[in-house]
Amino acid sequence: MTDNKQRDQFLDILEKNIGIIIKIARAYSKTVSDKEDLINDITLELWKSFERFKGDSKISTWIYRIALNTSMNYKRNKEKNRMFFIDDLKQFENLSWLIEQPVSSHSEILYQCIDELNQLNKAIILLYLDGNSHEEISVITGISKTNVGTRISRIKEQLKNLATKISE
Amino acid sequence: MELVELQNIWQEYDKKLSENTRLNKEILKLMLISKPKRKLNWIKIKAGSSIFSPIVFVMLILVLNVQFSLTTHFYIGLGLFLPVYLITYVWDIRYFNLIRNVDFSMSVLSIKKTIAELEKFKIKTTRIRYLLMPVAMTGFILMIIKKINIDLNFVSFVPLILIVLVFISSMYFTFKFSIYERFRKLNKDIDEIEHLEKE
Repeated sequence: MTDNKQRDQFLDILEKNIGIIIKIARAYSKTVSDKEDLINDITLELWKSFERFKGDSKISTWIYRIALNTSMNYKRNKEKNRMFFIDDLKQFENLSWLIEQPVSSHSEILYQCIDELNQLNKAIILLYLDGNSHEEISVITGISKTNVGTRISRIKEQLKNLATKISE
Repeated sequence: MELVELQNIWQEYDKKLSENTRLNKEILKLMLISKPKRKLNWIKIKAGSSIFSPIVFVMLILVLNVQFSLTTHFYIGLGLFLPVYLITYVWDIRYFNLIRNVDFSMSVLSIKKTIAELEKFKIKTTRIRYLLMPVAMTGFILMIIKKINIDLNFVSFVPLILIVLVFISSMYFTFKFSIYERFRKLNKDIDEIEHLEKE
Protein backbone atom coordinates (compact mmCIF):
# COMPACT_ATOMS: atom_id res chain seq x y z
CA MET A 1 0.00 0.00 0.00
CA THR A 2 1.39 3.44 -0.89
CA ASP A 3 2.06 5.97 1.85
CA ASN A 4 -0.67 8.30 0.62
CA LYS A 5 -3.27 5.59 0.39
CA GLN A 6 -2.37 4.33 3.83
CA ARG A 7 -2.60 7.85 5.26
CA ASP A 8 -6.00 8.46 3.67
CA GLN A 9 -7.28 5.17 4.98
CA PHE A 10 -6.03 6.06 8.45
CA LEU A 11 -7.66 9.50 8.31
CA ASP A 12 -10.99 7.95 7.36
CA ILE A 13 -10.82 5.56 10.29
CA LEU A 14 -9.81 8.40 12.59
CA GLU A 15 -12.67 10.61 11.40
CA LYS A 16 -15.21 7.88 12.08
CA ASN A 17 -13.82 7.12 15.53
CA ILE A 18 -12.62 10.49 16.77
CA GLY A 19 -15.37 10.49 19.41
CA ILE A 20 -13.75 7.53 21.19
CA ILE A 21 -10.43 9.37 21.39
CA ILE A 22 -11.96 12.62 22.63
CA LYS A 23 -14.02 10.88 25.31
CA ILE A 24 -11.08 8.86 26.62
CA ALA A 25 -8.67 11.82 26.53
CA ARG A 26 -11.19 13.94 28.42
CA ALA A 27 -11.60 11.27 31.11
CA TYR A 28 -7.86 10.90 31.67
CA SER A 29 -6.85 14.55 31.69
CA LYS A 30 -7.34 17.42 34.09
CA THR A 31 -6.92 20.47 31.88
CA VAL A 32 -7.87 21.47 28.34
CA SER A 33 -4.24 21.61 27.23
CA ASP A 34 -3.60 18.15 28.70
CA LYS A 35 -6.61 16.87 26.81
CA GLU A 36 -5.36 18.33 23.53
CA ASP A 37 -1.91 16.94 24.16
CA LEU A 38 -3.33 13.52 24.95
CA ILE A 39 -5.50 13.52 21.81
CA ASN A 40 -2.34 14.23 19.79
CA ASP A 41 -0.44 11.47 21.58
CA ILE A 42 -3.21 8.93 21.02
CA THR A 43 -3.46 9.88 17.33
CA LEU A 44 0.28 9.49 16.89
CA GLU A 45 0.33 6.14 18.69
CA LEU A 46 -2.53 4.96 16.46
CA TRP A 47 -0.67 6.12 13.37
CA LYS A 48 2.55 4.43 14.50
CA SER A 49 0.83 1.10 15.02
CA PHE A 50 -1.50 1.37 12.02
CA GLU A 51 1.03 -0.41 9.81
CA ARG A 52 1.08 -3.37 12.20
CA PHE A 53 -2.70 -3.54 12.41
CA LYS A 54 -3.70 -6.62 10.44
CA GLY A 55 -7.41 -6.49 11.11
CA ASP A 56 -7.37 -9.47 13.48
CA SER A 57 -9.54 -7.52 15.89
CA LYS A 58 -12.30 -4.94 15.39
CA ILE A 59 -11.05 -1.44 14.52
CA SER A 60 -12.81 -0.05 17.56
CA THR A 61 -11.09 -2.63 19.82
CA TRP A 62 -7.70 -1.59 18.43
CA ILE A 63 -8.51 2.11 18.95
CA TYR A 64 -9.81 1.58 22.50
CA ARG A 65 -6.70 -0.38 23.46
CA ILE A 66 -4.26 2.20 22.15
CA ALA A 67 -6.24 5.16 23.47
CA LEU A 68 -6.57 3.64 26.93
CA ASN A 69 -2.95 2.47 27.14
CA THR A 70 -1.65 5.85 25.96
CA SER A 71 -3.89 7.69 28.41
CA MET A 72 -2.97 5.50 31.36
CA ASN A 73 0.72 6.01 30.67
CA TYR A 74 0.40 9.70 29.91
CA LYS A 75 2.61 11.88 32.04
CA ARG A 76 1.88 15.51 32.56
CA ASN A 77 4.58 18.09 31.84
CA LYS A 78 5.46 16.65 28.48
CA GLU A 79 8.24 19.15 28.01
CA LYS A 80 10.65 16.51 29.26
CA ASN A 81 9.70 14.30 26.34
CA ARG A 82 10.23 16.99 23.79
CA MET A 83 13.92 17.36 23.86
CA PHE A 84 14.77 17.37 20.17
CA PHE A 85 13.58 19.29 17.15
CA ILE A 86 11.43 21.69 19.13
CA ASP A 87 11.75 24.28 16.37
CA ASP A 88 10.33 21.88 13.84
CA LEU A 89 7.34 21.23 16.02
CA LYS A 90 6.56 24.88 16.63
CA GLN A 91 4.90 25.23 13.25
CA PHE A 92 2.12 22.89 14.41
CA GLU A 93 1.66 24.28 17.89
CA ASN A 94 -0.74 27.01 16.85
CA LEU A 95 -2.59 24.94 14.30
CA SER A 96 -5.29 22.65 15.47
CA TRP A 97 -6.42 19.73 13.33
CA LEU A 98 -9.38 19.09 15.59
CA ILE A 99 -12.30 21.48 15.33
CA GLU A 100 -14.44 20.85 18.36
CA GLN A 101 -17.50 22.87 19.39
CA PRO A 102 -18.34 22.90 23.09
CA VAL A 103 -21.06 20.41 23.99
CA SER A 104 -23.54 19.91 26.84
CA SER A 105 -22.42 20.97 30.30
CA HIS A 106 -24.31 17.96 31.67
CA SER A 107 -21.49 15.71 30.55
CA GLU A 108 -19.23 17.55 33.03
CA ILE A 109 -21.17 16.03 35.94
CA LEU A 110 -20.60 12.59 34.50
CA TYR A 111 -16.91 13.25 33.99
CA GLN A 112 -16.63 14.51 37.59
CA CYS A 113 -18.00 11.17 38.77
CA ILE A 114 -15.77 9.15 36.41
CA ASP A 115 -12.76 11.14 37.60
CA GLU A 116 -13.22 9.71 41.09
CA LEU A 117 -12.67 6.15 39.84
CA ASN A 118 -9.30 4.41 39.58
CA GLN A 119 -7.61 4.07 36.17
CA LEU A 120 -8.89 0.59 35.38
CA ASN A 121 -12.46 1.19 36.57
CA LYS A 122 -12.47 4.40 34.57
CA ALA A 123 -11.58 2.39 31.45
CA ILE A 124 -14.27 -0.20 32.17
CA ILE A 125 -17.05 2.33 32.69
CA LEU A 126 -16.07 4.32 29.59
CA LEU A 127 -16.25 1.14 27.54
CA TYR A 128 -19.55 0.22 29.15
CA LEU A 129 -21.13 3.63 28.57
CA ASP A 130 -20.03 3.45 24.95
CA GLY A 131 -22.16 0.35 24.59
CA ASN A 132 -19.45 -2.33 24.48
CA SER A 133 -20.47 -5.82 25.57
CA HIS A 134 -18.82 -7.56 28.53
CA GLU A 135 -16.97 -9.76 26.04
CA GLU A 136 -15.56 -6.73 24.18
CA ILE A 137 -14.58 -5.04 27.46
CA SER A 138 -12.80 -8.24 28.46
CA VAL A 139 -10.86 -8.36 25.16
CA ILE A 140 -9.83 -4.70 25.43
CA THR A 141 -8.82 -4.70 29.08
CA GLY A 142 -7.55 -8.28 29.48
CA ILE A 143 -9.85 -8.91 32.46
CA SER A 144 -12.05 -12.03 32.44
CA LYS A 145 -15.70 -11.65 31.40
CA THR A 146 -17.00 -12.59 34.84
CA ASN A 147 -14.71 -10.08 36.48
CA VAL A 148 -15.93 -7.38 34.08
CA GLY A 149 -19.52 -8.10 35.14
CA THR A 150 -18.68 -7.92 38.84
CA ARG A 151 -16.70 -4.72 38.41
CA ILE A 152 -19.41 -3.02 36.37
CA SER A 153 -21.99 -3.68 39.10
CA ARG A 154 -19.64 -2.20 41.70
CA ILE A 155 -18.76 0.82 39.56
CA LYS A 156 -22.45 1.47 38.82
CA GLU A 157 -23.15 1.60 42.54
CA GLN A 158 -20.14 3.85 43.09
CA LEU A 159 -21.22 6.17 40.25
CA LYS A 160 -24.75 6.35 41.53
CA ASN A 161 -23.54 7.45 44.95
CA LEU A 162 -21.12 9.95 43.45
CA ALA A 163 -23.75 11.42 41.15
CA THR A 164 -26.18 11.83 44.03
CA LYS A 165 -23.48 13.53 46.10
CA ILE A 166 -22.51 15.89 43.28
CA SER A 167 -26.06 16.85 42.29
CA GLU A 168 -27.03 17.57 45.94
CA MET B 1 -29.31 11.33 40.13
CA GLU B 2 -30.03 7.84 38.81
CA LEU B 3 -27.67 5.79 36.69
CA VAL B 4 -30.12 5.77 33.78
CA GLU B 5 -29.88 9.55 33.72
CA LEU B 6 -26.10 9.33 33.53
CA GLN B 7 -26.35 6.90 30.62
CA ASN B 8 -28.74 9.25 28.85
CA ILE B 9 -26.35 12.16 29.39
CA TRP B 10 -23.55 10.07 27.93
CA GLN B 11 -25.54 9.10 24.85
CA GLU B 12 -26.58 12.68 24.29
CA TYR B 13 -22.97 13.82 24.71
CA ASP B 14 -21.77 11.17 22.27
CA LYS B 15 -24.31 12.28 19.67
CA LYS B 16 -23.40 15.95 20.02
CA LEU B 17 -19.71 15.13 19.93
CA SER B 18 -19.98 13.49 16.53
CA GLU B 19 -22.12 16.36 15.23
CA ASN B 20 -19.75 19.07 16.48
CA THR B 21 -16.37 17.60 15.69
CA ARG B 22 -14.53 18.03 12.42
CA LEU B 23 -11.02 17.14 11.39
CA ASN B 24 -8.78 19.43 9.44
CA LYS B 25 -7.19 16.65 7.42
CA GLU B 26 -4.52 18.80 5.82
CA ILE B 27 -3.03 19.88 9.15
CA LEU B 28 -3.37 16.37 10.50
CA LYS B 29 -1.55 14.95 7.48
CA LEU B 30 1.34 17.34 8.08
CA MET B 31 1.48 16.31 11.70
CA LEU B 32 1.48 12.61 10.84
CA ILE B 33 4.36 13.08 8.44
CA SER B 34 6.49 15.16 10.79
CA LYS B 35 5.83 14.28 14.38
CA PRO B 36 6.34 10.52 14.72
CA LYS B 37 9.78 10.83 13.22
CA ARG B 38 10.75 13.62 15.53
CA LYS B 39 8.87 13.33 18.74
CA LEU B 40 11.06 10.85 20.46
CA ASN B 41 10.37 9.44 23.83
CA TRP B 42 12.79 10.59 26.51
CA ILE B 43 13.10 7.12 28.05
CA LYS B 44 13.90 5.61 24.67
CA ILE B 45 16.55 8.26 24.07
CA LYS B 46 18.17 7.57 27.43
CA ALA B 47 18.06 3.80 26.92
CA GLY B 48 19.29 4.12 23.36
CA SER B 49 22.12 6.45 24.26
CA SER B 50 23.61 3.92 26.66
CA ILE B 51 24.04 1.55 23.71
CA PHE B 52 26.59 3.99 22.34
CA SER B 53 28.44 4.17 25.65
CA PRO B 54 31.43 2.07 24.44
CA ILE B 55 32.04 4.62 21.66
CA VAL B 56 31.80 7.51 24.13
CA PHE B 57 34.10 5.64 26.49
CA VAL B 58 36.76 5.03 23.81
CA MET B 59 36.48 8.66 22.65
CA LEU B 60 37.02 9.90 26.20
CA ILE B 61 40.11 7.73 26.56
CA LEU B 62 41.44 9.11 23.27
CA VAL B 63 40.61 12.74 24.06
CA LEU B 64 42.05 12.57 27.57
CA ASN B 65 45.03 10.69 26.18
CA VAL B 66 44.91 8.02 28.87
CA GLN B 67 48.05 5.89 28.70
CA PHE B 68 47.93 2.22 29.54
CA SER B 69 51.04 0.22 30.39
CA LEU B 70 50.74 -3.50 29.99
CA THR B 71 51.80 -4.49 33.48
CA THR B 72 50.37 -7.07 35.87
CA HIS B 73 48.08 -4.56 37.59
CA PHE B 74 46.74 -3.49 34.18
CA TYR B 75 45.58 -7.06 33.55
CA ILE B 76 44.16 -7.39 37.05
CA GLY B 77 42.32 -4.10 36.49
CA LEU B 78 41.06 -5.26 33.11
CA GLY B 79 39.87 -8.51 34.70
CA LEU B 80 37.85 -6.50 37.22
CA PHE B 81 36.58 -3.78 34.90
CA LEU B 82 35.67 -5.68 31.73
CA PRO B 83 33.19 -8.24 33.14
CA VAL B 84 31.30 -5.51 35.03
CA TYR B 85 31.22 -3.30 31.96
CA LEU B 86 30.04 -6.14 29.72
CA ILE B 87 27.30 -7.24 32.13
CA THR B 88 25.91 -3.72 32.47
CA TYR B 89 26.14 -3.19 28.72
CA VAL B 90 24.12 -6.36 28.05
CA TRP B 91 21.49 -5.10 30.52
CA ASP B 92 21.35 -1.78 28.71
CA ILE B 93 20.71 -3.50 25.39
CA ARG B 94 18.09 -5.75 26.96
CA TYR B 95 16.34 -2.76 28.54
CA PHE B 96 16.34 -0.86 25.25
CA ASN B 97 14.85 -3.86 23.45
CA LEU B 98 12.17 -4.27 26.10
CA ILE B 99 11.16 -0.61 25.74
CA ARG B 100 11.16 -0.86 21.96
CA ASN B 101 8.84 -3.86 22.09
CA VAL B 102 6.16 -2.17 24.17
CA ASP B 103 3.12 -2.38 21.93
CA PHE B 104 0.18 -0.22 22.93
CA SER B 105 -2.24 -2.34 20.91
CA MET B 106 -1.98 -5.07 23.56
CA SER B 107 -4.67 -5.35 26.22
CA VAL B 108 -4.70 -2.80 29.04
CA LEU B 109 -3.65 -5.29 31.72
CA SER B 110 -0.80 -6.71 29.59
CA ILE B 111 0.63 -3.22 29.06
CA LYS B 112 0.29 -2.34 32.74
CA LYS B 113 2.13 -5.53 33.62
CA THR B 114 4.84 -5.06 30.95
CA ILE B 115 5.55 -1.51 32.10
CA ALA B 116 5.66 -2.49 35.78
CA GLU B 117 8.05 -5.35 34.95
CA LEU B 118 10.16 -3.03 32.83
CA GLU B 119 10.51 -0.62 35.71
CA LYS B 120 11.30 -3.47 38.07
CA PHE B 121 14.03 -4.70 35.72
CA LYS B 122 15.50 -1.20 35.58
CA ILE B 123 15.51 -0.81 39.34
CA LYS B 124 16.99 -4.27 39.88
CA THR B 125 19.82 -3.69 37.42
CA THR B 126 20.49 -0.22 38.88
CA ARG B 127 20.84 -1.78 42.32
CA ILE B 128 23.32 -4.43 41.14
CA ARG B 129 25.11 -1.79 39.07
CA TYR B 130 25.66 0.24 42.23
CA LEU B 131 27.12 -2.77 44.00
CA LEU B 132 29.43 -3.58 41.09
CA MET B 133 30.55 0.01 40.56
CA PRO B 134 33.41 -0.06 43.16
CA VAL B 135 34.81 -3.17 41.44
CA ALA B 136 34.75 -1.48 38.04
CA MET B 137 36.22 1.74 39.46
CA THR B 138 39.03 -0.14 41.18
CA GLY B 139 39.66 -2.06 37.97
CA PHE B 140 39.84 1.11 35.91
CA ILE B 141 42.18 2.83 38.36
CA LEU B 142 44.44 -0.23 38.30
CA MET B 143 44.45 -0.09 34.50
CA ILE B 144 45.54 3.53 34.27
CA ILE B 145 48.05 3.88 37.08
CA LYS B 146 51.64 3.33 36.08
CA LYS B 147 53.04 2.21 39.38
CA ILE B 148 51.39 1.42 42.68
CA ASN B 149 52.89 3.76 45.23
CA ILE B 150 51.38 3.49 48.66
CA ASP B 151 52.05 6.81 50.28
CA LEU B 152 50.61 6.88 53.74
CA ASN B 153 50.08 10.60 54.09
CA PHE B 154 46.75 12.36 54.70
CA VAL B 155 46.70 14.47 51.48
CA SER B 156 46.94 11.48 49.18
CA PHE B 157 44.04 9.81 50.95
CA VAL B 158 41.64 12.81 50.87
CA PRO B 159 40.38 12.35 47.28
CA LEU B 160 39.92 8.63 47.86
CA ILE B 161 38.03 9.20 51.11
CA LEU B 162 35.80 11.77 49.40
CA ILE B 163 34.99 9.42 46.51
CA VAL B 164 34.15 6.60 48.93
CA LEU B 165 32.00 8.89 51.11
CA VAL B 166 30.02 10.28 48.18
CA PHE B 167 29.52 6.78 46.82
CA ILE B 168 28.38 5.32 50.13
CA SER B 169 25.96 8.17 50.86
CA SER B 170 24.51 8.01 47.35
CA MET B 171 24.07 4.25 47.71
CA TYR B 172 22.50 4.65 51.15
CA PHE B 173 19.91 7.19 49.99
CA THR B 174 19.11 5.28 46.81
CA PHE B 175 18.56 1.97 48.60
CA LYS B 176 17.00 3.24 51.75
CA PHE B 177 14.53 5.78 50.40
CA SER B 178 13.76 5.32 46.74
CA ILE B 179 14.44 1.81 45.49
CA TYR B 180 12.90 -0.18 48.32
CA GLU B 181 9.66 1.78 48.23
CA ARG B 182 9.39 1.62 44.43
CA PHE B 183 10.09 -2.11 44.46
CA ARG B 184 7.40 -2.69 47.05
CA LYS B 185 4.86 -0.68 45.07
CA LEU B 186 5.75 -2.37 41.77
CA ASN B 187 5.52 -5.86 43.24
CA LYS B 188 2.13 -4.95 44.67
CA ASP B 189 0.98 -3.65 41.26
CA ILE B 190 2.17 -6.79 39.47
CA ASP B 191 0.47 -9.02 42.06
CA GLU B 192 -2.77 -7.09 41.65
CA ILE B 193 -2.61 -7.38 37.85
CA GLU B 194 -1.93 -11.13 38.04
CA HIS B 195 -4.78 -11.50 40.48
CA LEU B 196 -7.10 -9.62 38.10
CA GLU B 197 -6.00 -11.81 35.18
CA LYS B 198 -6.72 -14.99 37.14
CA GLU B 199 -10.09 -13.92 38.58
